[in-house]
Amino acid sequence: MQAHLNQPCSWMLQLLLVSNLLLWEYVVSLPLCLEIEGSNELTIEELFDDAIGMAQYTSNLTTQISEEFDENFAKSLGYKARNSSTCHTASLLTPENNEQIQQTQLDDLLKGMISISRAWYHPLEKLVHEVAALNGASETMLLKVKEVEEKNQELLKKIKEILVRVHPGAEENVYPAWMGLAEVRSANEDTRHFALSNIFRCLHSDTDKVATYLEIVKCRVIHNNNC
Amino acid sequence: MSENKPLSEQRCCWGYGEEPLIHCLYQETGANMKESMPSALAFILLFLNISLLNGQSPPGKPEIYKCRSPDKETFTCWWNPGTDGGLPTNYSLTYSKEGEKTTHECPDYETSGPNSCFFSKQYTSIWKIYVITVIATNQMGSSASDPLYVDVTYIVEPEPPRNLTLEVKQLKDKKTYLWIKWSPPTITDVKTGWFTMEYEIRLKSEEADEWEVHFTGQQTHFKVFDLYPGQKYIVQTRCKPDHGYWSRWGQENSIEIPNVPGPKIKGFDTHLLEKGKSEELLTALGCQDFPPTSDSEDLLVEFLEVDDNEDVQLMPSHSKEYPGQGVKPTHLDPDNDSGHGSYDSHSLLSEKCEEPQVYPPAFHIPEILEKPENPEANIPPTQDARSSTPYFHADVSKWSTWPLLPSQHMTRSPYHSIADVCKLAGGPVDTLASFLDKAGKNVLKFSKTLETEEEKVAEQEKKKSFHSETKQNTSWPLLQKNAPIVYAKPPDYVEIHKVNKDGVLSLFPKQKENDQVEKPGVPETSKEYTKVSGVMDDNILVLVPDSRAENTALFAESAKKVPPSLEQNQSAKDLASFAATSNNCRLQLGRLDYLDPTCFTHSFH
Repeated sequence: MQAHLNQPCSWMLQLLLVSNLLLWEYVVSLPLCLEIEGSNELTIEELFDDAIGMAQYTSNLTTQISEEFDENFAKSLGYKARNSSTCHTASLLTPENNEQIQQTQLDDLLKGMISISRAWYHPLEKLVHEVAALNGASETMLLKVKEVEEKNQELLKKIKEILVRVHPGAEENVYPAWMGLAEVRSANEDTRHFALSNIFRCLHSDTDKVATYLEIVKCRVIHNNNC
Repeated sequence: MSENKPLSEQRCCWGYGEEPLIHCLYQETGANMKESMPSALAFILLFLNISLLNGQSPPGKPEIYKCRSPDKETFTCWWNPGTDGGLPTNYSLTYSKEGEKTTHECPDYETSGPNSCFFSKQYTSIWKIYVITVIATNQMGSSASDPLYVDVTYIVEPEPPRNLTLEVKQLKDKKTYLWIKWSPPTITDVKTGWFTMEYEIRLKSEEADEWEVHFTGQQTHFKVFDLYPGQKYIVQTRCKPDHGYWSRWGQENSIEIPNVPGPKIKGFDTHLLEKGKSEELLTALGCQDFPPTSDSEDLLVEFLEVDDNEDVQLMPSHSKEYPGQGVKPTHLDPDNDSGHGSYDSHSLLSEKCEEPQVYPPAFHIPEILEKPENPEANIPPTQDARSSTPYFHADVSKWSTWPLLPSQHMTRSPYHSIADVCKLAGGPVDTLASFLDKAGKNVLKFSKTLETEEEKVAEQEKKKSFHSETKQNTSWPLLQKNAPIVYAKPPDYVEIHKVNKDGVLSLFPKQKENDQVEKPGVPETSKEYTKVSGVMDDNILVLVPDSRAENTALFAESAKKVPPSLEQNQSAKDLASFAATSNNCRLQLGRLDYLDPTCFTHSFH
């Protein structure tokens, strides 16, 4: 009898422990500075390093999420073959090769990053729910998605600060809304899986893009293109 | 007639030759228009059959096996052709990019060699998936490969780093290190931050088999410490982008670490110790002619050496394992400061153990070793009054010699058994002196260094006790067995006086050849010095002092050269051993047994 009574409690405790362990496993000791009013105290270099660390961490997580999802739910390569799979951030027209990037202004790069980050703000909230409801998704995947959601919000703040330092008074650009929720919630399992596979792939590309842009901006601003 | 019916099932087509089939088909086609389709099909199949018979067929399925980008700005894909069906076959690569509906053809089939497609900068985007297919076409038909999904970010394999330079530098404290520097490969754009590169270096000495690999992160330099001087090292580097493949290892570069003249402590290289090569070690110490060659045995006869001065000397004992067999003319350099180091037994010993009993597992050789300067010096000298006891500090099992106490004059034998030396390391002089006084049953051992063969058993026993590095706490089996050892003491020699009816060897101190000041307490009268208390291992006599000679006369006697009398006595050759330590000694000093020769010295004055 007692075993029964204790079961939910112990189960919850175990879940708590496991989730803590998993979280710790993926937490990198980033030099995170507290978000205080006077963030001006951080040097621009420190701001960059913080942001880059966070962006790379997030990018790693999204790689893992995308791979794990494809492995477990979308093995057939046919999913990727469909040409209709575009990312909702494609309309931002951010530069996608080195030449184009070198020709883009610093401001535009920073604004582009902010737009990307904002464009994922709400989708990530939705994704957390969807993954939680996904049959067969592992605990770790859910935790990773939650972590990406959090880090994306923090990264957004950091990049905004950098923009303020680099170009005080700059205005942000608009950002695209995500219209893919319907597909992700489709009654058809294949449609759902395809939509999720697509969105995780887009998420991964975009986080990698932000990490790369940050490094390029840092080299330009701090080291004058001589990293 | 079913369209799928094989030709052989046609009415008149029994044979396998061409003609009958054709005849049948013609007949068929002529017969009925409605049946022309199956006939046409049959005709096609016939045609294919004919081709097969000729060995011709559409191409096999090609396969794209590798895509690589050296710089994240261009990339190449290579494919395996598959069979060509016996006909000239054309290959074409088509691709589409994620989000685009249009399909493009490969922009460049040449640059990267046969069966490849090169995408130059303008055709390369990252953060976009490419769907790539190769189609093989020949006269008979075509065949498409499975599509490959490529994200350029993940297929980057750079060239190795360049400009690898090596330099030996020194820190302020004279510590040398190898300074390794290199540059990123040329075509990757690291300067703008477009490319984030990580590096690894590996190095090994020329003779070594295995490489030592170090990950250096994003930095393009590295310091390596603790390399062996005089050796030549080979270094290589390689690099990898943050998401990609490691490059191959780059051009080798090598450098020789110059020999840095170190401080002239006549100690030895700890590396030699690690190697466990006692010969080298001893050579490093400057011991010449060591181990002694066989002809030295003649000289080994007298191994108890007479020492004029009052230094207490240890009785060396030898074993086969010890290079120091013995005794050969190794010359001590009296002025040699080597080994003087810190004789403070407390410091050394206390590092390892709290009690003065420490028997540190490692030899602290530099501080104690000295070369004997006299071939006959078998007894290790005691140190001056000011220096404290010697100690060891080495990995005993590998070490086969032991430290000697430095002394201004004399003969010293560098080779004692570890036991001997251990015995030297000791507690306070007072303690020793006091228990010496109390020594009831003192067993004194003079081991015959020369008779190495015979000694070896004893030595082995001693050595065994040292083989374990954790020996500190084990009491020496030797001692437990009243085994012989060491120790120090005035350089007294005894000669076998006679063998009495009990089979007891009577040993007497040999009269000093010159009139020396006799140590106090030296009894002039002869006395039954020892009495055999037992035999160990067939060739070692364990002697105990006779009750009449119980007091510290043992220590008080001056030892003299034993040679002639001992030589004469065959039985004497079988090692007369006295174990010097008494149980009291052991207790007082704790678990380890050793005696401080200085205490003996003091007790004599």
